[in-house]
Amino acid sequence: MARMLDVAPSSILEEEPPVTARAEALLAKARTVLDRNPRATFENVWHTLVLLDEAPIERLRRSLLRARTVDLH
Amino acid sequence: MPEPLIFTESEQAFLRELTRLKVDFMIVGLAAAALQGAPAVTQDIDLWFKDPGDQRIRAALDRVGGLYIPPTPATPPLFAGKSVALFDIVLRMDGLRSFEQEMRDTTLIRIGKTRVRVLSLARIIASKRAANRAKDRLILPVLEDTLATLKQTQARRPRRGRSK
Repeated sequence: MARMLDVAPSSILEEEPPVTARAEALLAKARTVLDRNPRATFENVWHTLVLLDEAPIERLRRSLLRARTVDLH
Repeated sequence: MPEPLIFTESEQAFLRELTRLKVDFMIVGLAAAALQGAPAVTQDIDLWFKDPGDQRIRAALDRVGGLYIPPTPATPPLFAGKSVALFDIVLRMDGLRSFEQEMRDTTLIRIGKTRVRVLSLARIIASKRAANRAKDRLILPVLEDTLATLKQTQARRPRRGRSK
């Protein structure tokens, strides 16, 4: 059908947004960590996994930025 | 509203100069933890120098327009100037061994264009446990959960260069 319409297949297929797939993968990782470390807190594990997806300099920037934001209020 | 710029090129330049001049130092504290993935908030970047009197630190400061303010009986040594305002000099680390011994427990992390020695998360936790201030007790569970997450994710990561 895509060929007949002369469009890319992705333009007519309903694809799962990549952000959802990424979130599900992170969630699965978080569950594994929590299964093996029952005393760990979900929020800490989740935010660590999210930060591990970033470059170290971005992790540091977020940390400093949050401190600056806290200072403002 | 755009996010305010933080830890910009001019601030990274100080780390680059310290590295270029081969100053022995490492990043410690919560900035070091954040670099390794800890969801922690910090206002500054703590630097532990082997020799805080090392003249090469002054040379690095000169290069980036920063100043060294010597300690007084009431105040610790400080860095002054826009490009170094985020950095603090750490003179004492609770619960840790000598600088040389702790250097073996560091990891090289790329920060912008520079690779910098960063104290391992396990040793940061040891230091926070020893310091045992109220703010340390609050952050310890976060750091411990981060360490557990790192161990888990690193254990699952395939080794590089492994033959099939």
